[in-house]
Parts: sequence; structure tokens; C-alpha cells
Amino acid sequence: MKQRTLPDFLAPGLDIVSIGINPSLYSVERGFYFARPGNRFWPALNGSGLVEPPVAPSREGVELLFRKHRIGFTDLVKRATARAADLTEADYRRGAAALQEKLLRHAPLIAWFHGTSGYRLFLAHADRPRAKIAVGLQPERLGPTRIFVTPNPSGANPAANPKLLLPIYRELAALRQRLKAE
Amino acid sequence: MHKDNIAARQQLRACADELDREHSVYRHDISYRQMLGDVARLLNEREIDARIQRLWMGIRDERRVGRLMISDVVPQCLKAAPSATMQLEDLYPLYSEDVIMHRVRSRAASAPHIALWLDGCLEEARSAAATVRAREELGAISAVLGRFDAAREIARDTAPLIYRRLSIPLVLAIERFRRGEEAAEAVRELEGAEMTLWDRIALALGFAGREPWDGYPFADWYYGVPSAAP
Repeated sequence: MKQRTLPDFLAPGLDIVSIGINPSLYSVERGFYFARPGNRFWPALNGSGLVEPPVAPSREGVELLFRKHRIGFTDLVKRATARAADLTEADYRRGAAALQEKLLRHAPLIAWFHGTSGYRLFLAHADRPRAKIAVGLQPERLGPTRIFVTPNPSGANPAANPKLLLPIYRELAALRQRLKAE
Repeated sequence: MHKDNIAARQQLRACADELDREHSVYRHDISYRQMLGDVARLLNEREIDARIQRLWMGIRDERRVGRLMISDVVPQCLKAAPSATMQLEDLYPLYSEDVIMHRVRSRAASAPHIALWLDGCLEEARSAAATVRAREELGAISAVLGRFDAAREIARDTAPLIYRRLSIPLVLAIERFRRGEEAAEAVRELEGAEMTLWDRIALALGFAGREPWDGYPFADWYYGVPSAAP
């Protein structure tokens, strides 16, 4: 049976690869990342300086981010689920190994995790568990790739208020600029 | 009971009914559950708030029977911590005509089609609105200014983004209601439309005299971008 998911947007030499936990069925049905109205990803992205002019939430928007702005997309677990409970330990274990391999192969400047929970899950299943994770630049690296964590932009996350998200997204934009200048 | 409250409650109840149905087939829409609970609390809709709390308890029950990954994936949501009232007031401030019009005029400074529209140069404004986003802006502004026929016409002629299928009709419904039309009449703009939970929650906020989303009446996916070109 064909797996319901969103395609990866990955290539060598990307500036940033955006990483969620797993695609929601809602996004899969609409065919692009962060498709759910109320999600703060798009407004924060468009206000951050990472892109100019603003990119519309759509399949074409994701492709534009990939081709023009060098921002790729993938997930820790590629399988879309209706229930978070449908993900198993085995999903995470396989997903963390696959993600690690993808990041090492494509070596983006920055791996961008959405939510400390997602990054904690990645570390735990990549045999590098760490209990306390703050948003921002992380001490770990994957090959040459820096790791940056921003709050989960889901509308369910009260900390995803755009006013709170924007500064950390701008920090990510500044990091990209600095790394590209090195 | 004030009619604003009744109209808002109808929308929130429809959302709670849908979340109940989803819950019964083990679909847990955590984002909208949190959002609906927050908005119900903000609008002092205790019955709906209580229904949402019961749904959260249902998830906790599942966790006890071994679906442990829920807490790992969405710990913030599992706690169902009510968002602080201050945060909610900040997210959904009271509707202020002055604020909305200031926002429209500010946007006009960098968007010629809006400046032309505000100056009454309607044909020139339409010609200058070359993108879906620009046309949606004209439709939304028309609704805010009470030019409902113009807003309807633009909505008819504009294929909306999949992300915001109802961008103009939602603003139209809210603005018609604000100008005293009955809710049943105001939501006629939305007849036949497939409304998402997000649409209904936004409508409820608008009916209750709140800003329904960041940057209303513009779509929230780009609002706040200083030099946003149309």
C-alpha cells in the first residue's frame, strides 16, 4: 500500500532544511507543508527576513522556497497519521536513522527542527539523548550542519504567538547569513 | 442574551460537535481542540470549554491504556494548559475600527492597488491588482468599508489560495454582521462552502467583536511583513 506522506525537498547545498515530526493528514491531503490554517509557520517565515517577498502557503510556495530560497523540507517520520498515538518507537527509530543519513548526505548549512519535542525525539532515537533542550542554536552538529530549534508553530502551541516566534525566526535568518558569509 | 453571543456560540458549538465526532473515531485534532478551548474561555463560553476539557480527559484515558507516544509528541498539548488570558487577549484583541483602518492605510503605503482603491479609482486599482493576494486584499478592504457588492464581485472573480479558500467571504460575513444584519443572513455568503474548524472559530471571534486573526482583514500568512510587495 502506498504510504501517505509529503515529498521530501532535499538536495545538496541547501541553506536550511525544515524538519517536522511527521506530516499531518491535513497537510498531506492539501499537498504541502504547514497547510493547516492557524499554523504560525507561514506568517513567521514571511516576517523573518528568511524570504522576500512573502511566499504564499501552497505547493508552489514550498517549491519556491526550495528552488529560490534554498530551504528544503523533510520530517523525522515520513508517515502521515491522524493520531499522534499511531507513531511507534519503531517509527521514530527508523525515522531518526533515515533523517540522520539524509542530513549527512545533503549537508545543509542548518537543520531546522520545529519544536523542542521533535528534536528531543530525534536525539533520543539517534542514541544521543538529552533531557533539556532550549530553542535556538544547539550544541550538537551533524557533520558540517548546525542545528537550530524554533518553537512548534502549531496553532495549538500558545508559545507560537507570532510576536514570540518572529524574534527566533529572525535569529535563524541571521545565522544563515553569518554561515553563508564564512 | 446578546445576539453577538448567540451567533458566536452557534459557530463554537458546531466546532465542538465536529471535534466530538472526530474523538469518537479516535481522531484527535489537537491544534483546533486547543484553539477552540482557548477561544471558548476567552468568550466566557463555559459549556463549550467544559466539553473541550472532557475531550482532553479522553486523551489522558487513552494514554493510561498504553498509547504513550502522545505525551512524547505533544507534551504541551497533552497538558492542555489553558493559554493565559493575557496571551489570548493579545492574540484576539477587541475589534477596533480605528486599528483596522490604520492597518489598511499602512498597507496602502506600500501597495499601490490599495491606495488607488481607497482613493476611489476602482478600475485602476483592479488593474494594478495583478496577484490573487492583491485581489483578495481589495475584496477584504471592500467588505471592511461596507462595499459589499464590490467585495462579492471580487470574491466571485478570484480563485482563492487553497490555504484560505474563504478569505473574502469570511470578512464579508463578519462585516455584514457588525453592521447589524442577522447572523443567518450574514453567513449566507458562506452557504455551500466547506467551512473548516478554523473558519468557524474565526467567524465566532468576529461575531463576538474580536479580531478573528492576526492582521485582519488581510490574510494572516504574510501580515506584518514590512515591505511586502503585492
